[in-house]
Amino acid sequence: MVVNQIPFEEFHMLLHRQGLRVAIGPFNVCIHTSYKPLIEQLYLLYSHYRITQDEIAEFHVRIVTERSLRNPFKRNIRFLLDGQSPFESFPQEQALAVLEWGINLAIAVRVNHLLLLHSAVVEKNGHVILFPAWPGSGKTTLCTVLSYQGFRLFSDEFGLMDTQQQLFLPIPRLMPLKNESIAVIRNYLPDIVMGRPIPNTQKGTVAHVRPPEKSILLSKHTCKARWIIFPKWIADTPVKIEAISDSEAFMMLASNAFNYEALGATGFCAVADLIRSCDCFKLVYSDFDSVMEVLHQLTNET
Amino acid sequence: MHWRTNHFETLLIENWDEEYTVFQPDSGKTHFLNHMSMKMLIYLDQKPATLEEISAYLAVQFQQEPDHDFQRNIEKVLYHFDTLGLVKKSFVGS
Amino acid sequence: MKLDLPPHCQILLNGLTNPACLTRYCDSDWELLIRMARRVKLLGRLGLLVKEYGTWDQVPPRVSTQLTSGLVQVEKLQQLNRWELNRVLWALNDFDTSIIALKGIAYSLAAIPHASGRLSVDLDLLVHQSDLADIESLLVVKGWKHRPLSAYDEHYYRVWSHEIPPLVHAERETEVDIHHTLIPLTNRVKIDPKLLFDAAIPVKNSTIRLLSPVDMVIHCAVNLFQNNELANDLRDLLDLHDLMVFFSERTPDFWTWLIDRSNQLKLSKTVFYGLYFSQLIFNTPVPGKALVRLHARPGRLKLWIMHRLVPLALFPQHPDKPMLSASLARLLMYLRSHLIRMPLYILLPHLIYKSLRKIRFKSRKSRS
Repeated sequence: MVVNQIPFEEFHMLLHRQGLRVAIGPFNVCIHTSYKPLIEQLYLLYSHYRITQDEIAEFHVRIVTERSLRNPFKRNIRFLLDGQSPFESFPQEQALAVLEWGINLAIAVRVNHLLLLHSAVVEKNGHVILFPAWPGSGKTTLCTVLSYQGFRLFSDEFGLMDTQQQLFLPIPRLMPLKNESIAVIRNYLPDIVMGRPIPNTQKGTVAHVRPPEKSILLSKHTCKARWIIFPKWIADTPVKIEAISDSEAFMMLASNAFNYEALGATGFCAVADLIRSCDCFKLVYSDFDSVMEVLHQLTNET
Repeated sequence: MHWRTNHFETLLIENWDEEYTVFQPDSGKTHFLNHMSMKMLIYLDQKPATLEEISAYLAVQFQQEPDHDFQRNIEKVLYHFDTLGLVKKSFVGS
Repeated sequence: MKLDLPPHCQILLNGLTNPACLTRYCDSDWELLIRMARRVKLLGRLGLLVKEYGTWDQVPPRVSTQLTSGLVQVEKLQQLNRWELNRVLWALNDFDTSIIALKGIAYSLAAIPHASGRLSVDLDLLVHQSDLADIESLLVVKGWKHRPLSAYDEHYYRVWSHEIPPLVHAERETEVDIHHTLIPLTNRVKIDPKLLFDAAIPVKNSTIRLLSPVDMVIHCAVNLFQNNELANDLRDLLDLHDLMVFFSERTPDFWTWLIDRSNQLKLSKTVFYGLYFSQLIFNTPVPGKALVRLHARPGRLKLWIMHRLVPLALFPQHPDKPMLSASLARLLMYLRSHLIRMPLYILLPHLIYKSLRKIRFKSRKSRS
């Protein structure tokens, strides 16, 4: 059963009463909220997720509303993980951003049975490309474009790697576009479903893109990695892709992972194996069409 | 005073074309070492050595002048590796 | 008096004390168990128990992945703790002093069963007061730093506390807490650290020492019933249980020594609570005679009140349905812990300062 197969009233009731359980990649997340505007947004943006009411959920999150301390006439929202509040409260317009941010945080701090790289991940021809995060990478924007142009979305944030089998696990989540990227993507991909822009968040204005239905449907299909590409967006520059040394790639990948250190020797061996089995590049780009061309060339060579 | 390695046998070492990533289980840290640092550790793992011996050995290996500056730099690396727990001082001859 | 626990606490307690019953747990029991074990820092412990009991393969996959994550976290923190101790001893190598390891790292060094499943965040050490200034400055020279502290907190640590402000090495994350005694100086109960050092035991192949078994048990009880606020401190009571089971099995006179030492250190009331609640909750085989030989014991009314409140505070709240009675128990235990730690003339300004700071902190956050 998928979210868009149940009527809005039932969806609302689940979130409000026992909590809605949805499969997000390898995890089940149980979400509670009674905040109607958030429920409406989720009904649209979570519409392709599978409902898993009868399964164990790893994450139990809530968005509750409360009176603002400083302004008693205003209401704030608060994110709770297992009843605990990891951050302060936020203006209620930001509910969706805070929920998504909170789930990411929960995954990042709790999951240690997989290696968690900080990277966008897409699949093409049965192989995974990693786009590790580094300042100015624009990985979410790039990932949005790719996942609506022939690549399968694994994640715009988490490279989840099963270290024993060296497989990547898809975890397609909403993709939060920031500031200028919102208009850029609206122009480039006019047909995709996007949530309302949320101004004044900690990361500026944010709008969430719904992941492609097919990526969610196939989210149990794991793949091995073949390419690691460190992207950088620089205005008005021609696209350029060049190989980088393995030791440099190792350093950039490991120093930017969520739980590389926590995994100890397992993490070290996993990253070493990964680097050995991948071609590593730096990519500089400014427009999507030429990036697509470069990537298609790269992925069709094999 | 002699220098020696500290649990060298426990290190996991990956060689990437004469650059090395080294995992140190005791500290849980990953270190990035160049060829000369790695040679130094391997040398010290054979037997404890004084700063002069290490400098002389590395100077020959890398065709450098074993002058004062060279020795100073080796000493700096040794002290840094000491804080990282990769090497330790030993006051007995062998 | 019997132990009367709400059902969700029973799910946790059964899981921790009787791994056999886990094979009968349904998915929703497991889900709740995992959430509560994590809340009281016992997820790694639970994972270790399931492994030891040999039922890992029967655990639902969504549970075993979480147990694995818990074990990885525990292992990592223990490795960080061991390394921090290694580096502290390295930094102090040329300084002639004796240092005692406390809490988690000590339990590992003493090879207490299940110590490898304990979640230990900070490194706790006990040093001679007379060496404290030298040790602190040596560590600072070698790269350890104090976290920025307000003037009030600095004063609190330096004048009233049993430890100095925590030190963290610039290139690492583990906090080093250096104690010069085991109980805050403001406490009515005092302890003479010299007695502890005289009885301390060296560790093989290391310059570090451990408290003697009875002192280790007493310190654990003191920490729980004198220094802590008890909320979610179930792990610490389980530590106490583990220590007593281990030492009493190896040392025939353990209980006699424990009681004599508690009386000697004038900590018998605190130790009474430790023995009482460890036995009540974890069925620790405390001999009946032991409790009676303690010089100071709580009166019947006080014990009845503690019997009602302590378990409610120690066990985690139900993550979806917090109980008012448990919240109240926690509040009362919080006040109690402060009352025994400080005389009122220090306590009231302290609590006011802390609550003011909380509000200020909140409003600053919401502005930014």
